[in-house]
Amino acid sequence: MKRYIMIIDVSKCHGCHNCFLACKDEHVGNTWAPVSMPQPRHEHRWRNILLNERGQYPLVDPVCMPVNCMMCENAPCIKAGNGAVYRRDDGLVLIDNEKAVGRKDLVGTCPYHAIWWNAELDLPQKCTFCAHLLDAGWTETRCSQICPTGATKFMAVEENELPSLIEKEGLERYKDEFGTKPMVFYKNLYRFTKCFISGSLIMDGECCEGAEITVFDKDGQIASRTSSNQYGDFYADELENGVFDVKIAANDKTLNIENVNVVSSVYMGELTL
Amino acid sequence: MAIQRMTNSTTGGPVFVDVEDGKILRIMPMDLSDDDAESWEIHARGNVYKPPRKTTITPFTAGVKSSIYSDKRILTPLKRVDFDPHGERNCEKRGESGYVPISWDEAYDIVTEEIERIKKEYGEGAIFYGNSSHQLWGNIGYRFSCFNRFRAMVGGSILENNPDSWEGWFWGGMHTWGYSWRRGLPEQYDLLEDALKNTEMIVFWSSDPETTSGIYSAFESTIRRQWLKELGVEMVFIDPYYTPTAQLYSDKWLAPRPGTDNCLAIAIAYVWITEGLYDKEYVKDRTVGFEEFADYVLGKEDGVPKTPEWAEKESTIPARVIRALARRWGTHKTMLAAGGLGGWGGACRAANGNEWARLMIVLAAMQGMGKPGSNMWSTTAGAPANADFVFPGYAEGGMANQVQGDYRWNKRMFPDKKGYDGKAPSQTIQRLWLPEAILDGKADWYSNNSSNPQAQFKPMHYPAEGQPRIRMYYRFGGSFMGTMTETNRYAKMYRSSNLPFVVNQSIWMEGEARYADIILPACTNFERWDISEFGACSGYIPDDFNKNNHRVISLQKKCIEPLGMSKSDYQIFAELSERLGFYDEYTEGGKTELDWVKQMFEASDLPKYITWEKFFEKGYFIVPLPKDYKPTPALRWYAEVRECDTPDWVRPTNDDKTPVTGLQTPSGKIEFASEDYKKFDCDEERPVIPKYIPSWEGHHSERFKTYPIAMITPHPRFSMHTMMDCKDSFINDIAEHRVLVDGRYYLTARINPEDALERGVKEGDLIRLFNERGNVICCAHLTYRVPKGVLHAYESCSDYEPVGTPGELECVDLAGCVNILTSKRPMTPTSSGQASNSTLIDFEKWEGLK
Repeated sequence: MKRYIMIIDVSKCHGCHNCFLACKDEHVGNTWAPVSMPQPRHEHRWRNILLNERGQYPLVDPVCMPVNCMMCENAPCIKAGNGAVYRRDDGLVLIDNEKAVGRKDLVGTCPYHAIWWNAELDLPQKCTFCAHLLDAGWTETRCSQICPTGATKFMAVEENELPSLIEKEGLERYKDEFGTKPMVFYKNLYRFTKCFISGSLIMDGECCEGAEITVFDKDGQIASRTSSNQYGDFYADELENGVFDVKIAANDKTLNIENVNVVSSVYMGELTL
Repeated sequence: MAIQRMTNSTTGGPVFVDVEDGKILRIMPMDLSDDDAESWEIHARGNVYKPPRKTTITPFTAGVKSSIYSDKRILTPLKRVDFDPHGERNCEKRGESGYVPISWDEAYDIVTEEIERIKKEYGEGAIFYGNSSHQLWGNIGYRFSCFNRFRAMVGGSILENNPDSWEGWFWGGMHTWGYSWRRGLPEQYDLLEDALKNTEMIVFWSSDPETTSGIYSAFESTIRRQWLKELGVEMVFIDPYYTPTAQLYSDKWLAPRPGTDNCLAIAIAYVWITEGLYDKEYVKDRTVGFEEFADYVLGKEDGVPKTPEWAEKESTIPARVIRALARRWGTHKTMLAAGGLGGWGGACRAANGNEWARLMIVLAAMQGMGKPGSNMWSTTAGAPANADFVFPGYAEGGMANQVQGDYRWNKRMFPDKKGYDGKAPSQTIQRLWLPEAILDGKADWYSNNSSNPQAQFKPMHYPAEGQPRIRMYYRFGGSFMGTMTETNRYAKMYRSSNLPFVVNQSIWMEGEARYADIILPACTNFERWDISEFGACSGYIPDDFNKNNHRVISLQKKCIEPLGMSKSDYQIFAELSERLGFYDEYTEGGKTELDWVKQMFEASDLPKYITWEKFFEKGYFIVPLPKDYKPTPALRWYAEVRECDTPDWVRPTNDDKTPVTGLQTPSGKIEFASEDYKKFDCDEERPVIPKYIPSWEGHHSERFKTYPIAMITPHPRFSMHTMMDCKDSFINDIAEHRVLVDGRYYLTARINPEDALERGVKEGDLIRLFNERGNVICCAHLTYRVPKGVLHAYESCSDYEPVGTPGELECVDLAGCVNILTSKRPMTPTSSGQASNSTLIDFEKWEGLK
């Protein structure tokens, strides 16, 4: 059985919002019953672009992450819906636009905040993976067709091929801990969900290239390793929140910085070796 | 009724349009089909590069349906409620008094009567025509076409557009390498292949192609930057804002204090000269005046060596970083992406932007510009393209048959005509000084003529000798006042009785439309016929279709009927010309828009490849690349000292036959020391060799003590100038563009968190941006994408919504028209360009209207 999946590469999205606009183009003012009713002109974000601007001046890393209905295998909205939300054989999770009338409660069931309330129609609404287009023979959603950077890929895969695809492509689920098993997968998710410790290294008044930076957690385990670039800058990335010790080594010089508190990404400034 | 797939095109790319029952369902990028011409292939470094078989579109095109179906559409002709052409005109009430619907007949009668009266009483030079830089896409409906033809037949004076994106390249760059036919920008032919094969590093200096796309070319070049990144090409970004392009590709970001780019450039030259990291042979053979420049850089001229430490003090960029950058640049084959199209960029729209453009050119020259892998190239142009295939760009004149069209197109479009149709303009007024022309009755500036580099030294005056003062303003196309400096001036101008009659032909009720006496409602290009090529503005920039991965020529089909009582621009002009007695001349005996479209089709090279019937049915054509295509990289001929072999068809000689062996400068070479400047002795801010002159509105200026925040306002990401902005369009919902607060979509301003903290401003607060020129309310986004002391907001607000008396300095604008705060001072006393990125302001939390 083929399943529709979406793969979003966070490192390729700069937030042009073409996908968001294509979604509105497709749905505002258009009725695609029974799949979807018209989206309001403003405020709904069936396709939403989240922004996490990591770091501080001058070492910044703004990251955009598109999210939409995750088409979960264990969809909380279906459980709560009593028939108002259903899953098709191809895996698509859709709202029944007749049975869901008045079901504002469904908005709160989605841990990904992907369900929106349409007060005028008295109806919860969300991304449908453009099911009306897929049913008409399209192979892309509007958001994947328009994406200019290749950040969003849409495809149908055999269900039994999914595990190997996940492993091969290094795919992750956003907030996997919710346990809802989304069919939207991410690449380079750490750029949005994790933190870095950064700094600018100086040696003999020049940019210090090639220094080894090692970040240790409080158990003494290596949490991140990197080296400084030609401008002396380094980003030790993929850190969870916590307190870390940083060891910097270049030639025979070392610099140890203890108890760096990471609640969001940190720029430690200019460091002289 | 079945869904019909139609075609159209926009400033942000060609599109498929799905239509059902007279309603547009969707607008989307084109997927190319198997029977379209093959895509090019580039073989480089062991890889084969082929572009995707589809077109890209910009955000403002992705959301364009919402500006077609918008409550801001004007659906009937309107008359200002207190305007009486035979009695009180109440000019001073413009912008306040409101409108009543009138019939087309009544509107036409008033406009016709006014035109005839003014012609009789004052002469035709008193009728003045003005247009915005950008409007809806399409060669027939464009201002150079149907508007110019109408203007030429009525007669009258015209608005002269300052080169608002070129500025520094026009006023400075042209005196370093010529290229007046490109307004100071260089050719870009085949530099993509050169870069994929040879380039090791790209320096993006004031360049954000993911936002500006070169121009009109959507995301066509995104894939190329991804290829270059995968090849390991190092990418450095120099910009006070960490741009979306930097977000995807940056290896290093340098944010010089606004106004100090030039000292950074000079310090890089210092490192190269002192460490021998420049192409000495090229500098010796292909440039003039290097010794003078080197003397200045090394401090022999003024006793101040322009060291990285010197530049650090000015720019805040650490000297060690400047050295590291200069050394890498000086030892790697580097493309300098100065601006979005090998030229342009926010730094050229600033005080001393002309010096910046000159410095960019000489830095590229010091690295052997034109040799393999080393050039001036912004990644946005220079894809393989068939330049022999003739199809006009929007600035080649269309149906106008006027001298403003290029020499090539008029001959093709009107093969049987000996001369031009209609009259030459009576006089011009430069756009930046239009308010002074009206309010003071006179204005002085320097010419925007680009027929040769020296033409711009000509002083211009209004009124021109023997010409009357203008009595009527015919505004065509979208509002542009939001793109002009000290915007309040324009509202004040409109409220002057020195301007007794204003007609505005507009699609939307916004900006300047609110200041007209009569409003003629035009329809969008989705409601009429037209024809055009993706991204092509030849006439301004020859062959700039090579920005795109495919040459796409679109039939712009009339997808739906004009909304309400709106009409196509051509129809409005045709009906007016009927009343004015030259209908047959204007329409060449009653031609419809579709007839003109077909005439353009026939005059182009399209019929060699496709029949009209097939083109009409399919709606687009992909121009094939010749099988034996041979790349001719830009300026390679110049570096190798041989005859120019690129397809550049506009030349210093204005023909395509005379061999070109040098540049357009007096010396024929790249000029460190400008021969033009030596001869014309312009002003102190245009020295013979490019220098660092502190910004006249920067951190050394007196007003910095009062207004410590440098506001930069680049060309916008989510609108094309004013197109798509406001109009209740979908882009209102993009937080990077506007934020909904208490029922209004406020423009987003990006501020540094430390500046915000000092002023008690939090994320999402409304803030008042102010200086002595006015007040603008924005919504604050706190971000380290700008350094402390810098505020970033996109220019080109389409509206102007003052609380208080329009035009007065104390009014508060709620629309986000940030150009209210920018200075009207010309870039230099003799460079009549705008320098809007040199603006000092302060901001505070706004508590709302008191």
